[in-house]
Order: sequence, then structure tokens, then C-alpha cells
Amino acid sequence: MTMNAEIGSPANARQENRMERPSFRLPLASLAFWGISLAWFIIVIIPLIILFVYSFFTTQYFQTVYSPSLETWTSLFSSGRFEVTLRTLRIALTVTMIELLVGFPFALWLAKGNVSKLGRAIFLALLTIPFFLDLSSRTIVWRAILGQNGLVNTILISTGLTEGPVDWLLYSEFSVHFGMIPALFPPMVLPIYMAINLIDDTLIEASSDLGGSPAQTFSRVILPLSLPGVMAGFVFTLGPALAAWVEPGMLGGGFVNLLSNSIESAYTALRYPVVAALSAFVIGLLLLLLGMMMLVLRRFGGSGLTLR
Amino acid sequence: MKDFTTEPMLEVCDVVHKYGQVTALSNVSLSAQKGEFLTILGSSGSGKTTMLRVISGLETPYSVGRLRIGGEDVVGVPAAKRRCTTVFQNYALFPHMSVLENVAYGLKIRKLPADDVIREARRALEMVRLEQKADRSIRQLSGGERQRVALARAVVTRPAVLLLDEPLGALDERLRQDMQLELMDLQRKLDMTFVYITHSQEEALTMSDRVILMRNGRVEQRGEPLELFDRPATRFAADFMGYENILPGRLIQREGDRGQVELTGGARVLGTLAADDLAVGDRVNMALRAERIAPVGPEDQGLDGSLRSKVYRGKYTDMLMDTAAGPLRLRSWHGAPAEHESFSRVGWKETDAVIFADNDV
Repeated sequence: MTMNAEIGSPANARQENRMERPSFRLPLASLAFWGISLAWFIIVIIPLIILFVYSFFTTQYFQTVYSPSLETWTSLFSSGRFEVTLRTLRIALTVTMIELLVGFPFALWLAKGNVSKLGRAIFLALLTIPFFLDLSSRTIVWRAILGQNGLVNTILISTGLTEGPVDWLLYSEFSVHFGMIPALFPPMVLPIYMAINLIDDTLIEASSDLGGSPAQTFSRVILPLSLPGVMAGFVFTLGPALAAWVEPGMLGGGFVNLLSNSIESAYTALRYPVVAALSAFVIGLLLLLLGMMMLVLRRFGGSGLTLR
Repeated sequence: MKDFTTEPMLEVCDVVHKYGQVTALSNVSLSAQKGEFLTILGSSGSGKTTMLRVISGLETPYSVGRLRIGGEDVVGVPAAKRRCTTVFQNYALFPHMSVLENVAYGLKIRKLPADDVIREARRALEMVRLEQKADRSIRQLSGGERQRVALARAVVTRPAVLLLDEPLGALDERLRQDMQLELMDLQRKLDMTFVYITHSQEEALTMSDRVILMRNGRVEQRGEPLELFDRPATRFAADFMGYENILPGRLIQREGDRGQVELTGGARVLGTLAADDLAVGDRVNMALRAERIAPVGPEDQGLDGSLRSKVYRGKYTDMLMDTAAGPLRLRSWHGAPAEHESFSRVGWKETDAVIFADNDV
């Protein structure tokens, strides 16, 4: 149709082109959409499905038995996995909440505070530096700092603040939290920073012009408008926190077992169905938490804003 | 003209403001009475928006002699505590709230009972004829409707002074004219002091009781709209008020407020003096509106010249004429005789020609 018009008289062709353009662009856009969706499906969704299917198999003598059964799932929470799950949830949520409490004010200050352009650029660059370095290399350094003969204890003992070394600094839940917090700070701060940065300054001015105190402006304008960023920060922080593997391994010293460590040990024991079931369980856990978060936010956002 | 005998609702004395090294306002003073429509007119960079922000408290001035709103001293008082509200240029409506919630914002902030909040907000919406769209989202509104929501939101708390920062700038021509009338109507109904900022001399002329023309952070001229329109006192004011022709010359004779000017090239013409302090012999400028110039007979006062170009623009015809005093722009609103005939002499009523001192940089 378009080809024919182009071959025809030039004036006619121009007219046709102009009329065709909107409908011509649309197929391209939808082609790209379906192409990307298909690629995403193949690369991400299919492995997840295979993983899920695997969880219905069993292992015997280090061999996977390919006959469907619920055995892996029913035995999943035996051998103390329930405590591991609770611990994982507790640590992941604690870390996420700490990140939110520290990250939100920081993001607010960075986006709307009295920061020079240069200062802002420096802070944003500093936030991206953790991505340059491998997580395990960054984490293992803490052993030298927090250990019994580490920097902190040496200082504490030599200044006479404590008599012996403080032993809860390393290989404890404290050190696991401590190791995860700097690693997960950027993924919490950056989305919130972006969201707050998008809030038009005149909205903030309008709020105080209409009589809003800084606290009212914050709770009625800034916070509700930054919620999409908070949501994204929550996802980007909670996901890795639930799946954290390096920090509990290196700084937990075998005393702080999380679900990821269970997955790892099942993997080394070649029990792939258990690996699959545990992974599927973590994903389910994450989805459940995000769903709850979404509900809370909607409730909170709704009641905080409407007159009703 | 309204009579303003009550005490001023807004008093600003000697505001100085600097952005770094740049002086945005140098010793600007102004005042407005209750129910007055004051317009601050100026091009971008004239300091008019800075002035508005100083009044609203969104900008802390470098120094200020006196700043009173509704009789209260507000120097150092934060924006939230001042009895004035602003209609922002881009409206600044809260995107996460409905129309009604936007309007109710200032009332809710003041912790009024919920019933009163809703009733007052609905009444304000009624006033701008948007009560039907109370539950709409801001995104579903047109530009003019958003404008009216911003207006309702600003007046619902009954401020002493309403500040409007080029509120009609983003609207199209037709809507702008409708909104001008609506704003004037609203101002009269509320009997509220309006301080209106614009760069359009036409808006200033139609709407205001008084106009302050600003230039480079200073007040260039102030007065009633007609005064500014018909008696600009400087070259800048004349240019800004849309005088197309500004001819340099020398005052050679004066009688009362009438004067005779010898223009470059030697022609002697009559005009009206904008200021009393002009003396015979002073270098002056004479400003003439293109549409107030018309062909005249050889005996009448005026300028000789030859027509250089003629552009028909539908409603009117623009002409350019070469004279001894320089090129002269003419505008004719009727087809004949200017459009078809040729002429070699043009003139004007002496009240249409403004004479002011040539002291501009």
C-alpha cells in the first residue's frame, strides 16, 4: 500500500506518507515491545519456570530423579529451615528499614537541600563507586577491621576502653548487618533521589505559600510524591538483602545462616531440586513482601491525602 | 476610578536584593490599598518576579526598609505565616490531589474542621465555575481550568494580598482575554488587593488600577494605566508601551504642557510634554504611535516624506515612510485612502505626540 503510493505521483506519495506516518510508527514500536518481551521471556521467565519445575523432582545418590513428587517441598522446612527463613526475613527487613531511615533523609538533602552542583555530583559519584568493586573484595576487608585482632579492637584495647577484645564485632548478626548496609545503600538512595529530584520546586514553594509548615509540606507534598522512588528503593534493597550470600558467608563465619547459605550448601551437595525449591521460595517471599508493601503504601498514601 | 482612602494593605520600602554579584532589585518601593489592582509591568529580568517573591516571603531580600502586609510587619516572617498567597506562573497544582483537595489545601493546613474545609473549598470552586469538576484529577483539566483552580486555591484562605505571577502567560489569546475579564470581576467581588505581574502592556492597561513599570531592578515609571499608555516619561517606557516611532529632537518652544520640537532634519512639530521639568533647548524625544499618524494636507503640521513600503496585514496596513527625521512607521486601520492612494505628508494630533527628555542610556 505504502510502496504503491511512493511509486505513484510524488504529490500523491507525500500525501500518503503524511497520512500513513502515525500508523507506520506504531508497528515499529509494538514490534520492539514484543521483541523485548520475547527476549525477556526466554532469558528470564523460562529459566524461572524450569527452576520451579525442578523443585518437584527429587535426588537419590547425587542423581536427580525426574519423576514428579512433592517430597522436596514437604521436607523443605525440616532440619531447622524455618528458623533460617525467619532469620533471613528479620535481617533483610531490618537492613531495608535502616537503609530507608538513613537513605530517605540523605536523598532528600541531596535532591532539595542546599547542595552545590559540584557537591551533588561528588556525592552521586561516591554512591556509584561501590558498583566498581567486587562485593566480596569489599566485604572481606571488614574481617581485618572487625576481627579479634582487628583495627577496632586494637584501638579499643590500646586506649583502655575495653580490657579484652570485643567478640561480637565479627562473625555475628551485627557484622552481617554491618556488611550489608553499605552495600545496599546506593540501591535505596538512588531511586528515592530520582523521585524527589523530579518534584517541582514550585510545588514545595506553593505549599509553604499556602501556609504549610516544613513538616506539613514534607508529609503532604514531598513524601506522597516520592513514594514511587521509595517503592523502587524497597525492591532494589529487599531483593538483594533476602538473597544476600557474600556478607553472611564472610562476616557471619558460619554462625549466621541465611536462606542463601542453605541454597549454597544444597548446591554443593548436588541437590538441585532443593536449590530450586528454596530459590522459588525466596522469590515467593519477595513477591509477598512487595505486595504487602504496596498495600500499606496505598492505604497510607490514600488516607494521608484525601479529604474522606 | 476607585477611591483608596483606607490604610495600605501592602507596603514595601527600599527593597534591595542581589543574586551573588547581580543586583536584582535596587531600592524598590511600592504600596497597594485594599481592593486595589496593582500591576508590576516589566520584561524578563526586570526584577518583577523577584519583587513578588520578596513580598510572598519565598525570597529573603538582601535588605528591606519596611515590609508590611495587611498592616503587619512581615520582615523575617516565613512565607507560610504571611497573609498573602501566590498564583504561580505554572500554577504549581499538586499532581497527587484532586481539584477539591488542591483548593482545600490551605484550609486543611490550618486544621479547620473537615466540614468547613469542604464547604469553603466548594464555594471557592463555585466562584471560578468549576464545582462540577471537584473530583477530577489535575491532569484531566485544561490550561484555563488549571488556572482557575490555582486561583481558587489561592483565594480560599482569604489572604490580605493576592500575588499573581504572569498567570495568563501560558494561555492562548482568546482564553487570555476571557480570563482577564474574569480576574477583574473576581477581584471586584472579593474586594481583595491584587498584585499582578505581567510583561504585557495590554494586560496592564485593561486590568489595573495602577501600574508600576520596572526596568533592571528599578521602578522606571508609575501611575494610572492611561498615564503610562499616553504619557510615557522615558524612551524605555515609550518603547515598552508600544510606541513604534521615537524621534530625537530639541525642544524649541513650550506653552503649558504643549511643546514644539525641532526634529532632526529641521522639521518643527507639535506635541504634549510628559514632564514639567523640560526647558526650551533641551534634547528631547518625541514618541508617536503608528496608528495615530495619518496623511494630512500641505498646510497642516507634520512631516514630509515618501512611502517606502506597504504591507497589508488583513485588519490593517503597515507602512514605512522615509522622512527627514528618519523612518516613520504608520498603521492604517481602514482600506482607503491610505491603502490605495499615495501621499507625501503625514501628521498627528498634538495630544498624540509625547515629548520627554532624552536622558536615557
